[in-house]
Amino acid sequence: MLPMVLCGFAVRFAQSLAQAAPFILTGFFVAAVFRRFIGYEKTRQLFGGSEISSLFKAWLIGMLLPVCSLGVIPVIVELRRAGVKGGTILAFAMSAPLFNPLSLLYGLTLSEPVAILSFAACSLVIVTVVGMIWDRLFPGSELTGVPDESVRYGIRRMAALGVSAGREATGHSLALVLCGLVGVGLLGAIVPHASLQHQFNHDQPLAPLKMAALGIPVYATPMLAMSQMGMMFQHANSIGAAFVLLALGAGMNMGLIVWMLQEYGVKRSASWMSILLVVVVSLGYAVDRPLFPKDIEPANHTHAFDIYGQPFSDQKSFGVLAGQSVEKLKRDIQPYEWYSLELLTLLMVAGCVVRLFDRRGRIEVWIAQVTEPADAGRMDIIVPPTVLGGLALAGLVVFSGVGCYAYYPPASEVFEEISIAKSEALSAGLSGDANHAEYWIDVYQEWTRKLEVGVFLRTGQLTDYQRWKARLVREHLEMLKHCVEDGEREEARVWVSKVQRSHNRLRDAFLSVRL
Amino acid sequence: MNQKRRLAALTFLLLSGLCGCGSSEVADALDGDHHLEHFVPHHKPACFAEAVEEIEHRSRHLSNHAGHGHDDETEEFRELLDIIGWLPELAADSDLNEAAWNKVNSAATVLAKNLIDCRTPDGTLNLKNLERIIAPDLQTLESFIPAAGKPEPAILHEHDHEHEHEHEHEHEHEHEHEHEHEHEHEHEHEHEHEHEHEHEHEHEHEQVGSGQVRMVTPCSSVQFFITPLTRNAVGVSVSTARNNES
Repeated sequence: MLPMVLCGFAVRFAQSLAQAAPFILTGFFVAAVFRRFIGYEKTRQLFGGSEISSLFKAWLIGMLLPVCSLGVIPVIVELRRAGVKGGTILAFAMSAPLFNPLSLLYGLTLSEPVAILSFAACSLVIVTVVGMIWDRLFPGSELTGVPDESVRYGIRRMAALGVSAGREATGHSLALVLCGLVGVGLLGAIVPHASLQHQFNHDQPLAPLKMAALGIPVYATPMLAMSQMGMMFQHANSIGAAFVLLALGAGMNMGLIVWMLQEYGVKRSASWMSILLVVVVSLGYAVDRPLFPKDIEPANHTHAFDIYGQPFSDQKSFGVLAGQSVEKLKRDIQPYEWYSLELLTLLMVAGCVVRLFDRRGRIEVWIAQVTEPADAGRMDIIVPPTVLGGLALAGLVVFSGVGCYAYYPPASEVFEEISIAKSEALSAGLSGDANHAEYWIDVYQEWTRKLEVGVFLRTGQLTDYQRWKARLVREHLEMLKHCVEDGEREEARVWVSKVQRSHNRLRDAFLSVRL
Repeated sequence: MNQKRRLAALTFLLLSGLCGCGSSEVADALDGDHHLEHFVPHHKPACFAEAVEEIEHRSRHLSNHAGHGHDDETEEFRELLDIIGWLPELAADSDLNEAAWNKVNSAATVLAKNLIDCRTPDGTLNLKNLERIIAPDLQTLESFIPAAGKPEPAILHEHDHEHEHEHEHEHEHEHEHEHEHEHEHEHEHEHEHEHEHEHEHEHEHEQVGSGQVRMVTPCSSVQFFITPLTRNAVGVSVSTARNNES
């Protein structure tokens, strides 16, 4: 039992860390931009204004920044130092991880785009209502008197950015991020393998409530939450639970709760969580029926939450499980996640070096010694830090927009990837290799969604005919997956040929000149 | 210090809650048989051609029996609406190109609207002229059957056995089929159908567990003179009007 618990914890912890790495890295740099470039006064102005406008701005900026619920931690730590109001910070913390341009586009390929747009609107309702109530219950929650640390110009300004990011990457923010990861790791250790498959069916009235309980410790990147919702729509599971998953699974984690407790105390944190849960679960029940997909036969299960339970179904020795864990991680961690992990490690090493060799704070003193600029001529312009900070944030938003084109390649490239996934999935389906088939079927299904988004992104439209072709491939793959899991060889063989035919039709629908 | 202790206690409580949740999941996981299933409704046609045939037959049936105090009228009406609703999916799962699919989709939308119009605001059904009302769109749909492609090899459908029995009730399809049930295996049956066209077709049924019947159901098409599929393992035949005519 113990080896399973330990390996389950390690696998889920490491998987989540890898998924979060790009966002955590982004979060550290965004936080440093707020501290060193934009400065606290301008940050307060950015998130300031009337009660409603500040909450709306928090929601909007959160939606645009490409961070997850772990990556948002360094940013909210910085917003707190900047003296932004508590309700606004918590609204930002909740909304930033829910959507980003990548996940929003992905979400629009789900069965009903209106569902995703409704979810986005509901998220605005959540942050506005909860933020307003909380701010009224606890006025004056903002920190005051934290000295501004923005740097006006020069090489010191660039150095300051790196030093701030490095220090946070090895300090308080890192501890909070680790708390978040421990939460999801514990789920992996405790929740039995595949035990969540039947908990969120459409006919279960308690599904949104159960999801509220599960959603807080789980960690999901915006894309992961969106693909989980895709699976829930595909299986016609509880839509209310899908909404709660997005709001809490993507929006909350244990690290955020610990931060809240540290900064606002038990009473105010409990109030926030209570109001939040009431609003989220109520909205979940409210959208459950109206947004339920009408053209899908409900399944009695979902695979969306298999990743939160034990990764192993059988008890084995520690050595065997450790070997399987390593293999699993090697297979699951994507190349871009490895790069992000390497960069994050580099930043942490730099942070450790600064902390170890600069205990007296000489670097900070050096950074603070910015001399008045000499009048060096008309062409030597000092770009104000706020402009640079604004540009950095805007650039990040633009970059994530441009990144959509790379993440969702054109149809011809997608079919190259699909052909690899297809041959792996179908050959595993024929040979009855359940693990291999399951992995590649997921990859295959994922690419069909990317195909839809890529075409929509480039042509501005996706016909119903194309949607149906992609959906049928996913459905047939799903049936194949079940046959392989159940060891039904003959049946799997039939579905393999069915998938092959659906695939050919999919290719014709997307690549052929339409008649 | 007190604050820190309080924080530690709360964190512990949260984690305990989490463990509690896990424990209940353990119990849930150990309880009962949780087989993963995708349900296919008993009246869902296997392919586009069969769907068109079903619509034709069922609409005729409803028209002919309208006003006769037919108990199952509402249920049959709902099933007909379901079948029309599945047309876009079944057409997409065929060889129809996009232009043809769009026409099928439009015809299905009009069909559904016409059908819904047969229901008066107080909920009563006026189906006397149903066959005539839907005839033009049905004709459009029939014209696409050849382009939809050849029947595909057997596809396995999972059916809820109890559900099957519910629908065993007289589906008075005025066709004559001879079913010879031949139990070759404890759980396998092979049905032979004899038709005027003298086409023979085999349907394999497999008892896979309590209340579950797995069917190997080849798709049928009038165009290829293949017998429509038998719907369940207990010998209730749901056939099509066209077969009756033939």
